[in-house]
Amino acid sequence: MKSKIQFSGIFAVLLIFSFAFIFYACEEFSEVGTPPSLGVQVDFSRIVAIGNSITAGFQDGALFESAQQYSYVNLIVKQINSLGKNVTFVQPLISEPGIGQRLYLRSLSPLNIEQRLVTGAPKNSNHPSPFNNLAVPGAILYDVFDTTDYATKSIQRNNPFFQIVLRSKAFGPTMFHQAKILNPTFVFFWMGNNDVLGYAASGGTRGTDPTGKLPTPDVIFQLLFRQAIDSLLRINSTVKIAVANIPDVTVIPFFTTIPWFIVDPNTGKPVLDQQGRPIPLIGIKGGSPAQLTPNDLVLLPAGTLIATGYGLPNVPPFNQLPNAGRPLPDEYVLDANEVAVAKSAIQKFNFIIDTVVSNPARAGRVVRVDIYSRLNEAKTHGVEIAGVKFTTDYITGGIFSLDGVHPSSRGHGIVANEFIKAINSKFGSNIPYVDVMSLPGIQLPSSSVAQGKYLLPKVPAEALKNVVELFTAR
Amino acid sequence: MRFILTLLSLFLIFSTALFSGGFQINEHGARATGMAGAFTTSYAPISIFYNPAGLAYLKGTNFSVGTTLIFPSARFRGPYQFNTTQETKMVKQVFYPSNLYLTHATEFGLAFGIGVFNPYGLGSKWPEDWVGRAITVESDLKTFYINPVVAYKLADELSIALGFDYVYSTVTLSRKIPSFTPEVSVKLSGSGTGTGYNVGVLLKLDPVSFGFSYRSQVKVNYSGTADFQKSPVLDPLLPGGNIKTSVKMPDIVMAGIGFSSENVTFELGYQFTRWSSYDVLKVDFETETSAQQDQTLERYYKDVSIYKAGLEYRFGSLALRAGIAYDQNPIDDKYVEPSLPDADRWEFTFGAGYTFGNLTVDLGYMFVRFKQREVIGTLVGFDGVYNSSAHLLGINLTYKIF
Repeated sequence: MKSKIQFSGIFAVLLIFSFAFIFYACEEFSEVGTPPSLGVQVDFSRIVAIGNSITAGFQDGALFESAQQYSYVNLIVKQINSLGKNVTFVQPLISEPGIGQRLYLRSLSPLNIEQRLVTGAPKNSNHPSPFNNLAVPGAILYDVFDTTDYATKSIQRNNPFFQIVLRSKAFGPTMFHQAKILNPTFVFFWMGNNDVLGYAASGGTRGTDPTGKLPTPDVIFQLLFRQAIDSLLRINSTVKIAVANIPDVTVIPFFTTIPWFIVDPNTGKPVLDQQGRPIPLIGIKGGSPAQLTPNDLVLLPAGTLIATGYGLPNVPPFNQLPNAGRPLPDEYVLDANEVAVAKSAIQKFNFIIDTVVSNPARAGRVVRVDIYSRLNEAKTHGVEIAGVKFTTDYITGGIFSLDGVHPSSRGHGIVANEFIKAINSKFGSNIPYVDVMSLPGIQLPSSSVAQGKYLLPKVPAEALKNVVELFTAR
Repeated sequence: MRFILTLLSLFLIFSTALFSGGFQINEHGARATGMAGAFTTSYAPISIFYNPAGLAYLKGTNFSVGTTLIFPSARFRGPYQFNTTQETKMVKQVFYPSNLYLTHATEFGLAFGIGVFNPYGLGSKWPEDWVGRAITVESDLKTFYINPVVAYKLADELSIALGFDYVYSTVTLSRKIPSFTPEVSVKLSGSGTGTGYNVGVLLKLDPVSFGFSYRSQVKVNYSGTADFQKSPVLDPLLPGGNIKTSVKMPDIVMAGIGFSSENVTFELGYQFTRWSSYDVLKVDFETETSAQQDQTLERYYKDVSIYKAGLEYRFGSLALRAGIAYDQNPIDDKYVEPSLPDADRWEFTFGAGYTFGNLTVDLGYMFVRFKQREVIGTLVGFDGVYNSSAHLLGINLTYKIF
């Protein structure tokens, strides 16, 4: 009897248990989110990009097809097309190896970069309408509307890209005019970087203001920027615009890679004086030689000069180097005062961008993309993506290409995602983000080269000069 | 080269995959598996794992050998960082933690036994080119415990036991460093040993019994190698070579209250795993370069509990079993990553045993249903949703030698 009660009790338990099991085991996995779809709020059918070398897809000191395909706008268009759209985005492709002073990584430890003057050719100069990517490497904000003949301008500025990108007078004399012909539904606009980089990358020796010595004055910037956005908005009544702001110079490896003190060639660590302090480099500050301080920025091309003794005191052991005792020339140092000038210009430009974009008259159709904050964050904390940490460090940080100024392919992916985030949240679209890790990483050389002795980066100064030339527009 | 010094080390941040949470395995005997592991008040050769004090109640000499086939499956949807819910499925694998027990009871209430089993282990494998390859591609951890024990019956109602653990473990972890084109493949592998002990107490006050067992923490010191498949240009930065690390296998407390009559046993069990011993993981490289440097990784697991209930009903030579358990995971959201997509889970078990003379065959089946786990704010930048489940099939052959 006792056993019988237990028996039925056990079966009741087993029955309940079985039901629980069946119920739980068969429960379907819940759906996660909704599959991305473009939404109907934004028309992406005709996309135009206006910008400078960044928007053009310039990398490693040159413009070439295999980098242009990763220009952030092209990446965004690919994401839009992944949702079944068929948006065409024609870029002024340059055949390999490109046009410019192209840099090639030859060795990582020690860092050795080779430079080659390359002369690729435009591939699709017969394209029957203006290019969708109208970004001109080296352009400043002023160039958007400047009707100076672009062929003449290319010669004056020793910059072939005005001619290559704008190409035919039949399409109009400026980036803006050619954009207008395409009657865009969406415009990517990122301008103004060179209005301060020209100054900063020349170590404060040249600039884009009327004197040619300073960044573009903010009053001029404000006027031009407002005119640009308003003119674009007037192309048609529905066109929408995404505008990026300007990153700080102190996040750009071109300015932050070489320390202000002397580095031991063998250990890669600072050389210390008898008090255990780092020994400052010597550079031209305010017109005369002076010891550098932590707030002075030594520009990337100075690396090769330091290797020959520039910036080092003429005492043992440095005096073995031929140029020991000579200060780093002015154009290789952005001293603390000049850093302040550049930073102040950037703050003003970004304030102008904010103000113009957020004006209620425009705000419904323009979104600002805060690249400034994103890169500051990358500098402070890094950007962790699928187990890989990106930083603003030179080469190894992964965001910047070999020239230390322009984004790498993955840097473009990160920029593209910042644009997508802003566009999606502003306009209610749902463009999927770019898989940053599917873009090419640091291209390794196929074979190792002999190690050099000096550990400072051997980035050919000449090659970078060419990049600097791009920024110093006038 | 300051920048190389500070930066390249970032490439090498070890997969948080190294040794992840719930890499504990509690199925070391098909009979216990059928009862969801609620086995501290029962006695069988497999008690060496669950509660060695049970050996004192066995008669004669017994031998048991078995294995548990584990068929896990998992999928990840994400990462949200890419605004995608794209699904990746873990590569199908089968694991077979196995066990072997030999026991002998004397007439003086003293019993001896030795067991070999794999109480910690983990394996996961994702496609080589998947989106999380920088975090993990394949992880495999195995532990072999060799556990001799002595049990003594203090009275008819009370027995105690003490044992020694000798542990051998192997680990292999592979992943990619996708910072470069072409990508670098990283493989860390090693093996190591450690020692620990276990104790057990069993109090049988018919029809209620109380069981308690404790297995100490075991620190396993691994040594092995780091292999990089890479372009020769990276040789100076990533020479590979010997590595050392250590992992503390956490201590476990098991306790249970059993109710038994002539043909029924029911146990409510509790298990506590002190995962908090797994706080940081240090990896030492014998050869250091700017890119290949010692690492200290934060883990900070939480102590967790398992609640279990198991039932056995015996009809002469046949026994039927069922059980249910709720198993917590020790990993906070921010540390969750795909080498071990852990989550709290329910476990449902069924089992049967049949005795033919001296031979007993036990089968146990367990279905593990992990709760869907959505993780946001992960340290590795890999937010998304994990769904996992597993089927376990255990079999043991037990022979009563005399």
